[in-house]
Parts: sequence; C-alpha cells; structure tokens
Amino acid sequence: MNNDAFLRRLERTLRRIEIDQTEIVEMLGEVRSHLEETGETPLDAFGEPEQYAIQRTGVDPETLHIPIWPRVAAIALWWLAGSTALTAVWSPGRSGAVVAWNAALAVVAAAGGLWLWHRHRPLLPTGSRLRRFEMSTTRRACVVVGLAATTAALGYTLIPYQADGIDCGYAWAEVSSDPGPCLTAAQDRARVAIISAIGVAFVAASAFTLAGSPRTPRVTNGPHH
Amino acid sequence: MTAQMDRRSQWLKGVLELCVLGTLRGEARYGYQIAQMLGDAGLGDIKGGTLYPVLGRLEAAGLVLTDWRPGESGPNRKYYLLTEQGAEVLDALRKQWQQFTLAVASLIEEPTKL
Repeated sequence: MNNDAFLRRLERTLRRIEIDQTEIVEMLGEVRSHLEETGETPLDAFGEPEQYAIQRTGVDPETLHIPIWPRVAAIALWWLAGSTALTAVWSPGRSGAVVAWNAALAVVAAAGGLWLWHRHRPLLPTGSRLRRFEMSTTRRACVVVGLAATTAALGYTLIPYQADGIDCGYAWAEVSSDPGPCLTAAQDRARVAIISAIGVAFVAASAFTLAGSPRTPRVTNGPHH
Repeated sequence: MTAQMDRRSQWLKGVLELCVLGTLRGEARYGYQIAQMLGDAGLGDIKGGTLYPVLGRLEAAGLVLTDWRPGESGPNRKYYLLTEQGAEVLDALRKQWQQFTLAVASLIEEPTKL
C-alpha cells in the first residue's frame, strides 16, 4: 500500500469515527509529514489505517454507531442481483437486449451490495469473530425480520408458478407485460433447487448470526470515556 | 528474546508519555526528531503508530502545543512545544518516577557483601 492509498483509507476511517474535520486534516497532515520525512512504508510506521485511527483518536470501536440500513440495503441489492441474474440466464424467447439489461443490472446490484457492505463494516482492531455479531435486542429483531422477509419475497416471486405446475414464468409475470421465460422441466427443477439453496443459506446465515450474538451488549464505556 | 522484548515494551508503555515530555523540555521538536531522540536514548525503534497517539493525548490534555512550520526542503513539519502546565506535569512525574525506581531498586539490587 502506498502513502496515498494509506491516507485515503485513514481519512475514510476517521470520517466514520465522526471527529471534527479540522482534526482529520491535522491527523492526516502529521502522518503525511512523517512518511515523507522518514521514507518508511505506511504499514510499517503506522500499521493498518483502521487500527491507527482508533489508537490515534482514542475512540472505543464498540461505541461507534453502525447503522443497520446498509446491511438491509445490501441484502436487498443481492436479492435483486440474484433474481435478475436468473432471469438473464433462463430467458429463452426473450430478446438479447432484455437479457443484456438483466445481466448488467445483476452486476451493478451485486457490486453495489458489496460496496455498501464493505463501506459500513465494523471497525475491528483485534477482532474476534464474535464481536462482529454483537448487537442489541432491537437489531437482533431487525435481522430476523429482514432475513425472513427476504426469504419470503424470494419464495413468493420465484417459486409459486412452479408450485402451481406452471413452468412459464415467475409470479411477477402475472402483473407484468413480459410473459417471462418458459423453462423445460429440468431447468425448472434446477431453478427451484437454486432458490431453495439461497433460502436455506439465508436461514443458516440468520441462525449463525444470532447464535454468535450475545443477548446483552458488551459494556461499552472503556477507559477513554 | 521475544519475552524480553515484550517485557521491555510493557515497561515502555508505562513511561512513554513521560519520556516524550522529557524530549520537549527546552525546545520544540517534530515527531521524527522525538522518535530519533527516544531511539538514541536506548528505548528502541518507536514507530509513528505509537508516538503520534501519545502526542495527541498530550495535546488534548493541554500539556503540549503544536505548530506547523515549513521543513528544510521537505514537507511541512508539525512541531510540539511544552506548555507551562506540561512543564509542571513533567517535573511532578519525574519526581514520582525517581521515587518509583528507587523503590524497585531497593528490592532487586543484590545485597552488599560484608
């Protein structure tokens, strides 16, 4: 990592800690000055930018507010990416333009979800995995409701037609001018298998998250406060 | 060797603020200069990641002031100066440290053979 990349990551982290802009400029200035003066590599001199930001500001990372909405938005984007990707792959009879649009939307949605998730990840200096999942009761409830709603939405939009013995489109095709793809029986079985696997994965992720989340949040007032 | 370094780093953690205040007595210095002074005194290689958080805490406590000055043909440098309060704290800590080291020495020094 070169000096500029290090400073960019450090600036991003300091902004997330929500300290004063003047202090951010000051801290970046002293790091830049030190690196240029000594010629040391940033990782050697300061360690990981996130860890350094925490040490330099003295903030307790566990007291930082991590909003739930980016997680929910990321999951929604991945769901959109998955469903549009499926449409792009299984759309016999549809025009190339529709397939291309679906594929492009899937890529953009998947990338957007990844970006959101990564940008709002917790700051973990020493990070045990358990700490990632610590959350209040309200957040636990939000996770359960969010994942259940996502799984239900997947099931509603993608599975019902197969359940009715109709193999020519998704549920949303009922209200859409686009009749949707017509699948062979084998393709339809594969589609249902994939959708079921996604649903099981969501439920497993939910169970894993909650299992790793203590019921009572850790006491967050450290010695710095 | 590693255990020895760990112990040394534990000791250093307890006295680094005092040592940094000591380097600023009588003269304003910038970060790299302070790190070099600490190294020359035998405290080892003090990284920026360790030094600047200490300087930041001292600044927040009002014990040092800072001042950006142009560097000699290089980047601007952030100089740290001891405040009046910082000088008083340094004096008080120095006395406490001397008492502390005397107490430790009295326990670990070999008894004089008669």
